Amino acid sequence: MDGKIGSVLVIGAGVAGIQASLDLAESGYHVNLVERRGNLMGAAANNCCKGVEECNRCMLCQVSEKAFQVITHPRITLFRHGEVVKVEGEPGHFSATIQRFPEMNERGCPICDKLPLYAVPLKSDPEEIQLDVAGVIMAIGFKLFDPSPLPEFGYGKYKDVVTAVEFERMIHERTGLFCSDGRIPRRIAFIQCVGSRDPKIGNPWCSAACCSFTLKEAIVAKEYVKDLEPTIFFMDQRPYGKDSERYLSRAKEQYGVKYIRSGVSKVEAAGDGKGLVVTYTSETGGVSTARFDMVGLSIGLECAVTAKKLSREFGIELNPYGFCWASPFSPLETSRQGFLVCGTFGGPNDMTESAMQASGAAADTLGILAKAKFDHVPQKSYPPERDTSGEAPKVGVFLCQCGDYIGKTVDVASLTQFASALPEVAYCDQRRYACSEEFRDEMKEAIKVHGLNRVVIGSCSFFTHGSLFQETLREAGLNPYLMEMVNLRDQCARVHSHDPEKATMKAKDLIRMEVAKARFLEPLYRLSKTMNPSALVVGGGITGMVSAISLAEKGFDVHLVEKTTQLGGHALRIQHTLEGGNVQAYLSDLIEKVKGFPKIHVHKNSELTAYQGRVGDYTSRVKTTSGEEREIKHGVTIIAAGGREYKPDEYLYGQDPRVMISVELEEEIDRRTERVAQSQTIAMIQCVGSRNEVRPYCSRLCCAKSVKNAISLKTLNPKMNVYILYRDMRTYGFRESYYQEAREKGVIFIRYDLDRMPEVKAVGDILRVTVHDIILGERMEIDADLLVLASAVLPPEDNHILSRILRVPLNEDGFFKEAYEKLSTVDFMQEGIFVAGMARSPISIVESIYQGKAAASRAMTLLSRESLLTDGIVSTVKESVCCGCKVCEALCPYGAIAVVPEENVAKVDELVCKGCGTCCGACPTGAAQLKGFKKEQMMAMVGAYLGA
Amino acid sequence: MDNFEPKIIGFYCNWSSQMGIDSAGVEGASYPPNLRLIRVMCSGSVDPEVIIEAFKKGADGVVILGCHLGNCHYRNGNYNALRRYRLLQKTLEQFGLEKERLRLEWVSVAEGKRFAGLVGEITEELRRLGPLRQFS
Amino acid sequence: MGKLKFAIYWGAACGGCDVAVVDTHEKLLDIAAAADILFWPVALDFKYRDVEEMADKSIDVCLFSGAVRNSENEHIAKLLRQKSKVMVALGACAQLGGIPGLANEKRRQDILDFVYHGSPSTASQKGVYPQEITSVPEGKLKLPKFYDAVMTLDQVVEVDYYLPGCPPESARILEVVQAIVTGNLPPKGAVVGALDKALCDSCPRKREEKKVKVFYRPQEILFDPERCFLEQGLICLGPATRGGCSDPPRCIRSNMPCEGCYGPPPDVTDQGAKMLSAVSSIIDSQDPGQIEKIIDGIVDPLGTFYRFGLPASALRKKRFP
Ligand code: SF4
Ligand code: SF4
Ligand code: SF4
Ligand code: FES
Repeated sequence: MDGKIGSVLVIGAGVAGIQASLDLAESGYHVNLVERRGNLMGAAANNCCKGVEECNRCMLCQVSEKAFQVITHPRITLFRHGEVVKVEGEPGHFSATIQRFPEMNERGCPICDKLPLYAVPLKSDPEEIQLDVAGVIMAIGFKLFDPSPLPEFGYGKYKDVVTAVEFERMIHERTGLFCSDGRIPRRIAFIQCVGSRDPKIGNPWCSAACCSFTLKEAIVAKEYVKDLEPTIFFMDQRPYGKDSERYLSRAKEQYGVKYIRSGVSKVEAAGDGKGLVVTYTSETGGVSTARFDMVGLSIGLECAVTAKKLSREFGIELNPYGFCWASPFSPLETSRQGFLVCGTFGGPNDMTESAMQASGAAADTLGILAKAKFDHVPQKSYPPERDTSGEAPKVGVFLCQCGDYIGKTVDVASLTQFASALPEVAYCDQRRYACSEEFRDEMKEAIKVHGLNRVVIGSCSFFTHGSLFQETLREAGLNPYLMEMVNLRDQCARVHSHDPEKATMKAKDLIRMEVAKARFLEPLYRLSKTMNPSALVVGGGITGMVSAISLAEKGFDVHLVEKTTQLGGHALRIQHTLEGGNVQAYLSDLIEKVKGFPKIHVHKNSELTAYQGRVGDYTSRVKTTSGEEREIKHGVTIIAAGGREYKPDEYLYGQDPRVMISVELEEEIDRRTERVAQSQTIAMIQCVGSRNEVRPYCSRLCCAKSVKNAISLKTLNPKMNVYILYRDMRTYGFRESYYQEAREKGVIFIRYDLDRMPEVKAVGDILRVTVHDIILGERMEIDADLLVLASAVLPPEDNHILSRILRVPLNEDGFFKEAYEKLSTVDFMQEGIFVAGMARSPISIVESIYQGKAAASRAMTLLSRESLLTDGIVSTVKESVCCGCKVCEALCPYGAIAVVPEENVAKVDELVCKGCGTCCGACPTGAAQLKGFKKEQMMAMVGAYLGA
Repeated sequence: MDNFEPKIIGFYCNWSSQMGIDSAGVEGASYPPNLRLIRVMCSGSVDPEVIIEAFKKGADGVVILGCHLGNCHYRNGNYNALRRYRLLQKTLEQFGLEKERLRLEWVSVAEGKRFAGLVGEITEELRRLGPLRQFS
Repeated sequence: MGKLKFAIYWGAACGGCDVAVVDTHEKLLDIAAAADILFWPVALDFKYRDVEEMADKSIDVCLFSGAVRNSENEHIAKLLRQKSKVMVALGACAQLGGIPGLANEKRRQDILDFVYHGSPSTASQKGVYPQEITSVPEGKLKLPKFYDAVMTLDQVVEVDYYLPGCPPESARILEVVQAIVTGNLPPKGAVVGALDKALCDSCPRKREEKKVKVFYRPQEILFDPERCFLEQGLICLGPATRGGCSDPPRCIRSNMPCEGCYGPPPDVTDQGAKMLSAVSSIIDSQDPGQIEKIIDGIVDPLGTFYRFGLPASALRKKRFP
């Protein structure tokens, strides 16, 4: 022991808090997760995944899945209805005081906050709890803007004016779309930026998440009401996230979502009392009105209600907007050491960024933690497993009344009788709470006394209780996979409460089916795969270096492979961040740090040429430009291959020396070149090479970059004419204030459309930019001294080679495609390989810093272990009938099954297989079968219900 | 015919659809008691042989439940379910089984109520179709 | 040991199986040396009466080809079962229903309508159908009853061995007969003269990656004679069909995809279900519309996946309202 504490405090159990907790717990630490409310998931709990064909990525499913993991994780202690009131001490040795609210209800399920979760007796806990923790992660989230004080929107006055979040909840709860009078709306308006980008009310920032959110609402609404006409009133379209641009075009083209660029001045009831009238001023200044059945206000994000109080109590600083202050190049560090911030507490964010920051914060916290030992849970010893192979099936059935939830509807007594009489059932019993400790003890006893070798439990969800009962079996000396569950509560009693008789009949069928399956259950074993505690990081830019440092700090070996002669990548050419941070200084610091770590082995001038193995045990080959090759063994891989600038072939770039791209201008500003200093007029064109047909994605960082350059120019020479020709200014989050600053400084913003692109001509000595000014409705000619193109970010040329070598996919744009957009954004479907930075999508420097940390954190959830355990449920191939047809091979999302040429049979790598069963459903010979779900088991269930 | 109670078998995936189905119970929604659910890991693992067996043994309808497209826990499993289901449905139609007898539905964690409605709708539909004629 | 006594019969069949027996050429003589053929109506002149008069179990082995389509087939099947010690379902029709079994997609009446009225080459008087009993001045003429559906042999009598194929390879027939002659018999109920592995195992074609965007029928494209049919979008039932017809497989050798006549491999009960599962799984698209279109390229799934096995499949027959 190094005397450090192996425990962390996470405040707030929203998306960020959940992700941070899971990362830390998976890395072997103990987490105390404190949440003020009774349920987890924060704002995401209201998301409504709805009855639409294609998933709209509200991510509720994934967040719920993670929430379940939190509840059942042995290394996470959840304090609900609680608040952290005091944290004293130093990083590594904090003492935190938690106060719990009296209405605390331990029994309520933290997901639904309704039904009981575990039958633990109500505890009369002390009011205050003291915890020793090494670090604190603040993920307290945000507050939604309340539009009531803004009379122009009629919120609170008209029932059919709702906030976007209420709209979401309405669909969630009513599974449909209705006006206040019950009618189905036909015309619906969404008004963007309510409570955002509005300095008048003190909210100058862009709330960053609402554009995409509303877009999704509009699409979903349209799915519900086919002839719906959704209209979105907006200033700039800012769905800037990865793949959002495609979503936006789909909304317009496929769903006919109408976009009106305008400012809304008021919402009123229509004269005839039917519906609402929206009055708006279009870009060109014309005032119009339109009629709607419903109006959704896309409200913004504000700092959390508790932000002030906590900042005072913990002594952490807030930024001028009331959000948490973070240091410029350590975007997750607060002003107090040992306190990390992630998610919307640090500023408006969407779920993607929140989750990445959460992982990043976890990585930062790992540095102050003790060495992972996985020993924060008392090590249990289990009796040796009984060998049941020779025994005839002897099934024990245990039934639960779940208080009254099952017992009220299903006649559990008669069900018990019924089950006892089933062939192979050797024992059956029932209790008020099957999950209570007493009953579980009795269960173990019964298993021993009656020699049971299969168990069927009729209670609640496998999701919540599966692991609990599997544990019980282990304690009784049985293999945990010899158990099946029937969800009598949620799949029977609760949904048939109006018909107890039929419910009981159904319950009998369900028990009979599960018993029929149970007799075919086999003991399954979790394999352990060794873990080589070292990582391969591909790419030596900021992202790669940050990842490498995080890993090395925790004592893992890192091989950092860089193509060029120099570390630093893309950032070598960038001088300042938008916020004014000195990038070069940061970069040399970072490079020094990398050099200072003996654990980081830098391979410059090198490329990855071969890669094989599986998580925990990879062998790669790296080749230098001079042809030297060496072999590297490692346990995980991080792709941080960066991106590259698009060299435009439009607008005379490369033909006229006065035309340059943004980085080039930045360099010239930095060097104070003559021609920049002499310029009277500089024009910039945005979206060069982005958001068009060839590259239908937003390069995301160019708007801020141009704003930054424009401000620098104006500071150098306030008289200079600076024009920015743009399509939408995407200065999301706090970047918005720089956009405002630029405007105040006199930068002229002129909007253009895709169908009327600016033109650039060299007329004699003059470089002439012609643009159709939409606002003035006329052609404008700008004679520029310099023309600056905000050119797109491209994926590195060799991404497709890397993708082939590493066997991970790219998206249509050539960037790496993560497991799930929005969440799990640095993970791939394949375990053990991660991606961060520009290799996955264009991002800013600050974003790549926390992404690099996020990837490291995810990697450390694996690296921290001595070995990894697989699940027992995997595919297996009966070699005597497999014909080697290869149908399975192309299907497996993990590459876990392949035909071995020498034997012409498929083999499953059980260490890689995740047990989805896709190959088994497809296998034409029935050779591939999913353990625990074999055909004979499925057939037995069907037969038990329908008769032989 | 009025008293005909269709027998329906449902295969549901362990992830989103399980959460959605269970949340119907949590939220106190209600649906007809005709459906018998069988848990599988992913909708993409359901073997057509088992479905056909269910029809042979007298199921009046079968429904496969999975995560929404793009949201499968294993990423693509449900696309597989979709491909298989469409070809199976087409084949079953040639066997004289109305296509409503085999359904593929996506259910997410937030769709407990929708799921309840769906079971009601499926049950009604099968009631209308009447019992599946068995081969004698 | 005395000479073995054989019976060879055909039910609803094309006669191909009998040809396959004859195709054993001079080897047949070896069989004849070891065995007496007591009954083989297609080749020799026997009467049912001859069989009826035999003592029970007096025939050692009956090779029964053809499906059970009418009451005569059923009657003789039962009769031969009673008289034989070992009943072998010879060929796809007896084992699975075979090509005649495809009639299970039609209603009995529709078949009769077409055969006696609809078919272009038929000119029969309106409303005239064969009757089971027709009275003529000389007495009553009897015809077998035409059943609603085609059945496999084991749906009417107990079968001891199955010798698959349409028709079975002559060499396999010989091997099986030899095994019987030498008393080298596998356990009852076994499929003989075929392998446990599906056909792909013995297929010489190159397999690379199974991802298909269009399905073709053999006449629709020029395909690579070296590469797996399925991978080129040609539906080949090899993966869900027992191998063993010949090595290399005879259809594949003649550049034709496997049609499935050797029936399902040991762990499969419904060959069609398994095959359609595999075929749909290799569709390379994630777009529901495109998937639909690709599947539309499979014109007759039932006829394709159950070409030889409709009566033996789980659903056996089309349901009519
Ligand atoms: S699909 Fe089945 S038969 Fe074909 S190679 Fe895979 S396991 Fe073997
Ligand atoms: S069960 Fe799923 S993960 Fe495992 S080998 Fe089959 S397809 Fe791959
Ligand atoms: S599918 Fe057909 S062509 Fe392909 S390997 Fe199998 S038998 Fe050969
Ligand atoms: S896990 Fe739900 S459909 Fe694949």
